[in-house]
Amino acid sequence: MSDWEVQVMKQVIDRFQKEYPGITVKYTNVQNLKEQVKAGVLTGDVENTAHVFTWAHDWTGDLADSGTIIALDQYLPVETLTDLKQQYMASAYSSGVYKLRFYGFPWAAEAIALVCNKDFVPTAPQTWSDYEKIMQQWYNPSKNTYGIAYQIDPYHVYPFVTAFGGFYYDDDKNTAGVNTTGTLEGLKFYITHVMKYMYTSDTGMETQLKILLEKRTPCMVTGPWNIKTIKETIPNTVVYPIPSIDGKTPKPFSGIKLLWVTSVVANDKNRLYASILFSMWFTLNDDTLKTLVDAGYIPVKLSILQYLQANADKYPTALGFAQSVSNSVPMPKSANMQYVWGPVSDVLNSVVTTYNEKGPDAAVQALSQLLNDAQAKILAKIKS
Amino acid sequence: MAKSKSKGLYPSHVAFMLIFLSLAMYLFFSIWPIAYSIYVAFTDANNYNIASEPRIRELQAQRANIVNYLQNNRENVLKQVYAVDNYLGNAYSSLLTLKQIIQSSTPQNFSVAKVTEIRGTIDNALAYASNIITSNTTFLYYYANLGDVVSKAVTLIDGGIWADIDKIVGFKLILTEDDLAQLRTSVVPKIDQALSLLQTARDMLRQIETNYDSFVASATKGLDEEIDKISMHFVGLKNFETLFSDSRFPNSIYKTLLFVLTSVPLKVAVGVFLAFLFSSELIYGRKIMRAALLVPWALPVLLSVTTWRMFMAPQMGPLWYFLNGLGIDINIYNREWDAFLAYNIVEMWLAYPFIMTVTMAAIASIPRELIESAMVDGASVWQRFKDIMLPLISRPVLFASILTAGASLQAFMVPLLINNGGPTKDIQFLWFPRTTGGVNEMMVLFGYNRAYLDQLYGLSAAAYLVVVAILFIYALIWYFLIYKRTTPGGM
Repeated sequence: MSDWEVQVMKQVIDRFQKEYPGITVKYTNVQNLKEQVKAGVLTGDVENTAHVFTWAHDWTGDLADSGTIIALDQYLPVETLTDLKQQYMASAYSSGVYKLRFYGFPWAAEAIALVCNKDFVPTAPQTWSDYEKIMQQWYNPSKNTYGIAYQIDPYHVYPFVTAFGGFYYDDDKNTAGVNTTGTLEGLKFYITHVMKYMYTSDTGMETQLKILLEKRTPCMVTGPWNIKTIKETIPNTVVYPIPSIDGKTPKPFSGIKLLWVTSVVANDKNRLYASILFSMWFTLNDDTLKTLVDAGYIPVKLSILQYLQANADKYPTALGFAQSVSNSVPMPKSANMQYVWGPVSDVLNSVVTTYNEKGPDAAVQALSQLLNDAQAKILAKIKS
Repeated sequence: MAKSKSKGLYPSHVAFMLIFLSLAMYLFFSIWPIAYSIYVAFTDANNYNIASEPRIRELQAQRANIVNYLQNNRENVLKQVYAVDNYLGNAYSSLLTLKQIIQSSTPQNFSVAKVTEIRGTIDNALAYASNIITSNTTFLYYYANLGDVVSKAVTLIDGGIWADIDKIVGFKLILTEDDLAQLRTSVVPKIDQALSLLQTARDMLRQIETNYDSFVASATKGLDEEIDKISMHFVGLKNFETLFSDSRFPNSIYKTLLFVLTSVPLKVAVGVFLAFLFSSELIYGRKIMRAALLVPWALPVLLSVTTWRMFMAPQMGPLWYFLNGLGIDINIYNREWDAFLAYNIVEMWLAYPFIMTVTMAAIASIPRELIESAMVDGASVWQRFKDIMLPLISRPVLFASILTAGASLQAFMVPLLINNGGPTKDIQFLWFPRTTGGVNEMMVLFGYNRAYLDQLYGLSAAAYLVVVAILFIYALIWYFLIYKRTTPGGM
């Protein structure tokens, strides 16, 4: 978590402790969260392992299967669960459900969208061609200005893949779709209509963000995690959903941030109930959630979303992201998804290298072969 | 040695105790971890199955009882099966009602409140059904693929049907014709899918009553499969097969050996040159310069190599700007051999203090009389250097270059921090199949990336076994070719 996130969390914890003075909550920021929690659960170290922790929902499968988190339906009756379900966005609640059991309380959603400087892009581009005109005006490598800032990795290019009907992995059928026509077309479009206007020598987040902050590009496709930093330099920040391409809606990945309770407290009734109480309070208390919205998190509780819509002018960035979340596809929870990121990442890196060495046409040519390779690799892993 | 026969601690007893203790500590701290790593190399360890102990124990406890429990509690289990069937039936008929509402309503008589009510009914029914299915009083989740089917139905309903309704209806109370049309195109097909899934589930449940024994066998098998999925398995030599099944690992080995062949001469030449330079009395202030030149040795590698990376980074680094001004474009992120050159330069910068120090010590140990007598005999500078100094410092310099070649062979921090073994390209090495990967991924970095990027611990351990074998061969070559020849008693 970045510094500003830590500050917000501390505020929230202070408020909880005022309401429930009998419970003490300690906040720690941890590296290698997954390994630490898994190791802590194995050793049964109640004092030093997290009792409640948070991350995006795609870890749920892995954590549940290895017994690291507890299924909350052991301690909450069915009626409570159905009540809970009505409080949240449907896709948010279901992202905490794995193999029919409820594991995590959703508290925020994140999906990438087009984050723009209102001075340069005052209204939402309705189609990608509209935005391309803006990019063409801006793209001038000799002056170091570019049409768009974009971090190239499998997560970020996904909206273009889905716009053309492609996908990486289908949870239901347990197959990978990395070399389907849709994915191929989507990535081809990406090379010819996005990469053309970008700075491609370094496509990592820091460099691309720098280009946006130095006002050398009007927009960047990124998520709520960068909003605070961007707002500090660009006061007139506005968020638009990624514009449609010839009538096709780009659907980015959404991650729902969940609060899980670890198995390490399973035997300590007091701690267990305190953890569950804290998690429920965190995700349901309206004041807390409003604080989180002000900090830049996108809410998933229905009543807060209603409030946002009613006060649209006060929350230009939050609503833009919320719109993007409603267009989005949740990241697959299956543990097989972990085999997809690596090969697709290799494909994209290879495309960038070829693009830089030989130009966009060579990159487009190379795509088909690269995607076939990646597909073969992923299938080999999933089958074994 | 005479043993004293006193009544206290015999010296030999003390000796045995100490030997025993040190053996025990060695076994525990060295042999055991090494044995475990070697074991992992022959398994399919990955992040999914390496820490599943608590869950496996839980599942195995269930497995021990499942057959008996199901046979002895047939009445109870069947009662619960009927209950699930009922709940699924409720959900089914409510979905039908919902479909009918969407298909035949007009904007005037579409009731958002009714839809919300139906939604509540379906959610309730499915929640109760899920509760029974996942409980370990019925083990229904493991029966054939009932768990999967119901799970898919629930995901489809929550993430598909309700999500679409949330998006299209939102918080509105009245819908337009357009909204209804959207509902019809996107939601109705999903309702159909969900209905067919629920029907499949109900059919499976009806089977249970007619053939209870097959249900017990199937549930047991399902539980076994679940345990198998999250356990670590012994796979023999499969990891090694995978390592050599495509070009990545062979290319790593090749690149590492190439790196040794290019960087070692560079390091030794620069180190020896600087040593001679600072041993000559002609250089003023050389003692201070000698101390300053040891900085690369003293700084933490993480800091210094990252600084080098920033120094050379395209568009950001001062060195890049300077070279660009001269018309040379070096890009460590995008070009293979530019990056390789960068590795060599940084490795040289890291290693020359070591070579320099060793060589200076060797030069200092050459007796002055030898040089002076050579000067008297009329030898030129070059002849003095070639025929007197070089042979006399050859042993220490050779020794130092062997050690530094070992460091090059294990190159890890340098490729990792400069560009993580990139750029990513097509790799096709000798006869191995084509693949995509980092072209400058040296062998130690390859193992690290397999463990930390891909989380394939088994594969990574196997790669490291191969790396250790290569280093062992290197040590043997060193021993037989060089050490034996240059020590007294050798040739």
